[in-house]
Amino acid sequence: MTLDIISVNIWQILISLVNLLIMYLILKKILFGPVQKLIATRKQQVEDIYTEAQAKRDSAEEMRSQYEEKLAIARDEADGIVRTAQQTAQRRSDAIVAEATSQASHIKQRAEAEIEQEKKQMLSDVRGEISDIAVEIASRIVGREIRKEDHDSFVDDFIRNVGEQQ
Amino acid sequence: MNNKSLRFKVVDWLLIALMVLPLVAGIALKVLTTPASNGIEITGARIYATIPMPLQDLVITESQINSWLIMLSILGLALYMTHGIALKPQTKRQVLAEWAVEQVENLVSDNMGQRFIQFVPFIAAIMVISAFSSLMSLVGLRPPTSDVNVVAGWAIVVFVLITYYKLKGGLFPYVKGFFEPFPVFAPFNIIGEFSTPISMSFRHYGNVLSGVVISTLIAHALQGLSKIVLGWLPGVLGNFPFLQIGLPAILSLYFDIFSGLMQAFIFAMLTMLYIATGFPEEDYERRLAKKRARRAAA
Repeated sequence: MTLDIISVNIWQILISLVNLLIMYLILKKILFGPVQKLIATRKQQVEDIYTEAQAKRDSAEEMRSQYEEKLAIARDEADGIVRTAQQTAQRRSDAIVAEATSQASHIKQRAEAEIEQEKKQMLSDVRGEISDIAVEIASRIVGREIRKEDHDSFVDDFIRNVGEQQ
Repeated sequence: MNNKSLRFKVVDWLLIALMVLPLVAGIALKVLTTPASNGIEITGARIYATIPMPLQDLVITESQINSWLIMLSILGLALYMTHGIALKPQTKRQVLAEWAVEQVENLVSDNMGQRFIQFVPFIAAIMVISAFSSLMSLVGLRPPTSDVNVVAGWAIVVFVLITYYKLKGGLFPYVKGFFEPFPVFAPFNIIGEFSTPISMSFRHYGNVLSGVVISTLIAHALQGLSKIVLGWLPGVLGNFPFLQIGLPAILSLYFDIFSGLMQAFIFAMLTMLYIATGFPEEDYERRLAKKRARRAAA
């Protein structure tokens, strides 16, 4: 037994109507309710995470700026220290050089004075020797003893002349 | 996830059984009750029982049984999809379920607007029950949507919803709407109003039924052709409808799958559009404002 191909039966229509409503409830309670709730929860969580991350980033940014500030101060301090040290060193080296220069010139002066002294000494020694030699030569030439005392002025003149001619 | 508990797996298999068994039962019922026949029979659904009721006898038919069976299957599917869902998706089916939910949400919010977002499960119910009902013909069962009564029931629900949302703008604007643009149009407007559910149900049912009819015709034609072309084969081979292999499957791609899904989509689409466009937003807002003012004054 079969239905006609087009047959309207209100009870069947009613059953189908109720079927659709049951289907709606099934899908709502079982599929859409839980899944939508889940998605909402997840969205909330993600938002929370983002907010948290933003806060953390902000604080990190703040810390970074603080650190940078501190770093700049430290660099300035270091620069100051180095500059002071350099200045001190410069001053000290200048002083050392100046002292060394003055000492050197001092030593040079003394050396020059000594040399002068020695030269004079040597000259007077040489003069004495030459006068002795001159006296001896003269006495040999003359054949008699020439008293040095008698001819001192003569010898002296001679030597002086020799010295001037040199 | 390989470390699912045994309990989880058992429940999984039970749910899969809930999905598959109704279809198996339907096939068994059909095989047991359908008498063998040789001729072409194009009839309505098979009647299993008749219950006397006022106005009209209630007949329990193949399409009723099949629609209950497919509802059971969908129930199993819904339970299976949401079985073991967690905040962090651990199963592929959860991803699929979320995807499906979001697709329907997008569809509804695109076509109806955010105001009707609570319609999401309803639209999904229409689409799912219609699509799966039509797809039942894939396993050889008679699709419940080929019965006009089934689709008419859904169309009546939609009609009630359309009217309900139209009435939200007030009774007077609703009645006035029938006399526009001129009072002469009133009969046509009324006919137009009632033609909505009728056209919806007939479009859907007609499409699916035509698929069933054409499939039956082609199957029989192929059987006849098989007899003519290959009848010279000896014994059983001569009677075996070889030509029925293959071609009906290709045709069912269109008549069962494409047409069925298309009609489900069209039905859901029309439901959304009729409800959303019928809703008199301005009148509703005006009434709401008036009500609020009255409440504030009281």
